[in-house]
Amino acid sequence: MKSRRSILWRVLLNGALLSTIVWLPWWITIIFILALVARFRAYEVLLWGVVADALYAAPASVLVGLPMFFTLAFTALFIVAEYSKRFLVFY
Amino acid sequence: MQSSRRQHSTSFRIVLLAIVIALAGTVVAQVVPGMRGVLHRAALPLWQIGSLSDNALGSVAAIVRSRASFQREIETLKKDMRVLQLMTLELPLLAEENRRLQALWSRRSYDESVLGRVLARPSATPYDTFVLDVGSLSRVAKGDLVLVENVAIGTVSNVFLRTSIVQLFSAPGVQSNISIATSSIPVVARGIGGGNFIGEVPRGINVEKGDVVVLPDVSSRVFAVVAEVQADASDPFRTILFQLPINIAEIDWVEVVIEGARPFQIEEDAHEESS
Repeated sequence: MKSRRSILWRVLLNGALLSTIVWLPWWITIIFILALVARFRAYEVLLWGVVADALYAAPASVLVGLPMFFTLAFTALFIVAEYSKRFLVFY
Repeated sequence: MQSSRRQHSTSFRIVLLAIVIALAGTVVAQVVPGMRGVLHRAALPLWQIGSLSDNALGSVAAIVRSRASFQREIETLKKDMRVLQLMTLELPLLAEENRRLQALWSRRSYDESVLGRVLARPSATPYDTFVLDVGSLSRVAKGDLVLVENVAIGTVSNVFLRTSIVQLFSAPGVQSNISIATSSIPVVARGIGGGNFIGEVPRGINVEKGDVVVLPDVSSRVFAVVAEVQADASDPFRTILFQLPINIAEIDWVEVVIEGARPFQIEEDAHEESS
């Protein structure tokens, strides 16, 4: 029962995250990413980063012509969250 | 001790897996031909819904505004209109003079253009890019100039079937050759984001706040206006901050200049290019 609710939350958060990527400012997207990585081991955020870069980035951006701001930011948030969970008592 | 080592090893595996997923995803999305086009095609209906809801919300907001605020706005707009009417009196004369001069020197600048709706703009993304609802089906091609009225704001950097990405000249790191209209001095403007630019001119050149900056071409396009001139007594150059004369967050429609008469292409661009 608990796991079903957890899956539902995860799906809802991912849906909301997609909406923020398409419609809302990028910093709201970051807030939803934080919520996801704090609550779950959400590997899917890495793919959302790739999707966001594919939708918006232009080639003149940094990093050997591969525009990947979102991918790097989301990966960094994921890694930091996973490391932090080791030191937090409620995980 | 052993438990801590196992925990450390698990964390290392998670980090490694995350990096592998991110790298693999990036390679697939950016390098595999057609992948970005597929994502753009999937996102297009969502962007269109967003545009429609923006319009609807705007209409609702207009209905609920008070009568007094409407009257204030009408008065302000009337004043602005009078000023603009005076300013535009000489425009037909200047356009005619420009046309004659170009004809005299056998130069022409009759480019075709396509109107595009802005589906996503910089507030949605930290990149200084626009997503437009016109693509290769509308004969848009990489490198096409994008205008708002006569203000050049960027060039098309990626073209998909029904959408395209416009990189703004103000994107961080983008350099553009421009000239200051009053002095015709060539300047390199470097984008610093949000419709702002920075450049340098020799101290002897007279540049004032409000001067118009143009993209040098057969038909000069407005590029920006000088927002600030910073001078240091020990520096032989002056730093100039330029600004787009329009707010990029308020741009809904743009004009994509299709250079030359390109034939209608579908098959060639059906699988979009990615860079």
